[in-house]
Amino acid sequence: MKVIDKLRNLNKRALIAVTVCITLIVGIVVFDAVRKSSEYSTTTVAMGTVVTLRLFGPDGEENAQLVLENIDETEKALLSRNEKNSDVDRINSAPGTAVSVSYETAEIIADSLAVSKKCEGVFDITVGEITKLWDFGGENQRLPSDEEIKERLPFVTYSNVKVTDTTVTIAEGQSLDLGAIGKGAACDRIKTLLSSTNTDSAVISVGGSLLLYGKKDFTIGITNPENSQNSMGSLELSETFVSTSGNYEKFFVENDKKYHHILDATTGYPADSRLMSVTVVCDSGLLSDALSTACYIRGYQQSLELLSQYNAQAVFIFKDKTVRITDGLKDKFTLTDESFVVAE
Amino acid sequence: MRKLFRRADIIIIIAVLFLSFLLFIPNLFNNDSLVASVYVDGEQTEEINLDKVEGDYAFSPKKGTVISVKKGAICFSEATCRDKICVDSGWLTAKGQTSACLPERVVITINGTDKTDMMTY
Repeated sequence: MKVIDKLRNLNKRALIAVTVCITLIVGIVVFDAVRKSSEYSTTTVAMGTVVTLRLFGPDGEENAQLVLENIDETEKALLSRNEKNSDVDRINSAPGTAVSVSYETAEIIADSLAVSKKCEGVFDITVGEITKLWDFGGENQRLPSDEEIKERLPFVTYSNVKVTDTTVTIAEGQSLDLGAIGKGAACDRIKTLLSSTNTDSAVISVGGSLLLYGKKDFTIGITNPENSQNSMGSLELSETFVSTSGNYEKFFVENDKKYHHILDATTGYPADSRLMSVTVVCDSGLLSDALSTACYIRGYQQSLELLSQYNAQAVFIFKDKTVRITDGLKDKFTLTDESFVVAE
Repeated sequence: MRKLFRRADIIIIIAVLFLSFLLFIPNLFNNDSLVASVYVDGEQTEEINLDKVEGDYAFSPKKGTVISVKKGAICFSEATCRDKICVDSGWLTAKGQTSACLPERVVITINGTDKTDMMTY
């Protein structure tokens, strides 16, 4: 009672001052907590493409920096064939020699070769000498002659690559190009990194290959192949990887013919597909990248078994604007552009 | 038993709490603007509220690229790179849209998201 009496006798001004102070302190604490649990997003260029990060949870800026450093490492230390002394550069520089590489690089290459085997070589990371000829998006982009392609095609043979836990050997005349799976592999590494941070959830795009991380549900737009700034539909997804291969991303037109960047490794030419794009959803970034390329080249019917082997799902968009969706995604897909038609 | 606070004291406390809540209101309602960010070499160099643009203008965020701005829209209007994909992608007019000049490492993005959290392409 004595305490209450003393408090009761306090000057009202003091009471107001105390109330204001408590309110401010609570406000600052709440504001700080909200700030820490809010979203941090940024966009930059890395791995020769646009990278967008949206991180939810505390320390977003610091964690985003770690992610960007991780992407940089994936490119410069492991997978880029243009970075001097990356694992892939060293492999390409020494055909016929068992080159020591990181365990991660060896695993990425082994996984890529396994996909090549299952899709009968239409996707093949030994296509390096031929992608150099085309140089899509590069300084020397051009239509190569038939002779140039014929000369190099015999060396595009995934079965000639030997991989152990820490070494990779390519055959004479071969060179690796991991461009088709590099962005997805980067997403795999980012997932491992994020699991060691305090990030609650995240959605990360490395050139359109996506990592969806954490418990949050995300709405993912599928690019309209005829107008790449807009989506034609969306998928409701949580914690997974998404990748799209389309004929609209990198291409050039010569003699009124469009040459896109998705090369059929068995011919050395852009895949002659009835499709405009394929979006693949599965539990690996590397596989979603590799499968979207393979499925684009093989077409709808021939891709279904390949997808089921990897427990992957896909959305196929045909040139006539028909959309075919595998069973596992049908109830997750929403069509937003009525000019497309979803086939039953 | 005597009360610690009188009615007037409680009214003052509630009033202070209410006023402090009012301070947060602007943060709750400022997400509707169309704001574009320009990134050069990974660093944000410009933030433009496209709703408040008065008169068309253009600027060069980096040698080799020119960005044009008008009310509600922004785009790459010139680029010295060979493929011109950034210029061909046209005006960005909606949240979440992005255009990039990869050779020059310049990215324009309209902040926020419309109906999707991210696009796959």
